[in-house]
Amino acid sequence: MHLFRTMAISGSALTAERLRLDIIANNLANANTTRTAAGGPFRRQVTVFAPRGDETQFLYPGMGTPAGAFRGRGVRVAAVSEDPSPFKRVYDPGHPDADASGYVSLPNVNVVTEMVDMLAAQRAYEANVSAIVAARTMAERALDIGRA
Amino acid sequence: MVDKLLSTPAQRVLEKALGASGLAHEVIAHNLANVETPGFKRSEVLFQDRLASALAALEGSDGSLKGARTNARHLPIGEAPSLDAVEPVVVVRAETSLRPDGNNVDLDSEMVKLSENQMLYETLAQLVRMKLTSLR
Amino acid sequence: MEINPLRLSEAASQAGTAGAAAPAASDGVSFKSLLTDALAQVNNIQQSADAGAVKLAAGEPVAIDEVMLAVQKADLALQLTMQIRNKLVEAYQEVARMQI
Repeated sequence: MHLFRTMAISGSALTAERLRLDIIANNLANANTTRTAAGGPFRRQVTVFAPRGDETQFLYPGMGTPAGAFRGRGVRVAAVSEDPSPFKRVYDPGHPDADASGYVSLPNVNVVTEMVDMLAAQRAYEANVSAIVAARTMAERALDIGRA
Repeated sequence: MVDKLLSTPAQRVLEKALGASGLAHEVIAHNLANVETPGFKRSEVLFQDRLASALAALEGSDGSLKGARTNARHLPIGEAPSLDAVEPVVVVRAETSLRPDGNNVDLDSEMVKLSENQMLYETLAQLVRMKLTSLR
Repeated sequence: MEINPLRLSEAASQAGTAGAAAPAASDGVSFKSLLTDALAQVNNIQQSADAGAVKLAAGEPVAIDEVMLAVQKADLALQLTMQIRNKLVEAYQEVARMQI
């Protein structure tokens, strides 16, 4: 077992999930922001995950790759992109940002979706922490092999 | 002669199983890291089943057909592989999943595999250690 | 897979009296056969412990505690046999040193 490689795999997941949590927190904080610096309401951001180091994993579905050829190195955030779904339009002529017909465009952030994503990110984070703890215990046992 | 003392077949199998278990942890960690990645398919390590079938073939109890060879240069059919020839292999499980993003990593079953594998690794390390110290 | 402590110590006491009663040369058979029997027993115990360990590595439903105990017993059996051998050799050497 390559100790540091294993820790790096789980560590990459911790980093990725932490970033995702930050993006979700930002979405929630700006759920009602109608005026951004670039003009217009806040647009929801989404993290896009991709496996790291293992882009050829679909080459051998079902066939075994020998042990030395395993190249999985965890996960990375491939992009932080904006959600292209349309803004919510609410009729509110008294709002300072209402347009000519009295509609306000609110951010396309759905609080319930964000909370569910947050729970998923948290579960994934904790699972990867367990993987790190397990790796450390296993390495300690392996180091004990030489002990009389 | 020293070589034979230090590496009985059983010890070699234990050491190889230990390596396979370590590899299994890496694969499980990779699966867990990608539990939220769309389209990701989980991998797993095949070793224990292969070892078990090699054992069964050695003991002749698995009922597989064995070809009789009339010439030593003929290729063997169904002959028992030696235990040393069993190697761990990483397979991608490309089955479809129930999740809309195409990811087939089941968080709970991966966590169970993580625990089981950890126990197996520690047991094997313990056994290897005991056999080495008894040699002493 | 059971080490029979009674048999081994009984063998040791037999060997002890035999060694004290007569020089080793004429009783070489009993020493040799006792030792080889004991070593064969130890070998058996070790083989079954090995088989249990390999089964565990193959994922078969073997009880971990049984395998651990078997390996420990094999280890102890070997140590016990070695100690008995040492005592027998000591006894023989003492007898051989006797001034007649």
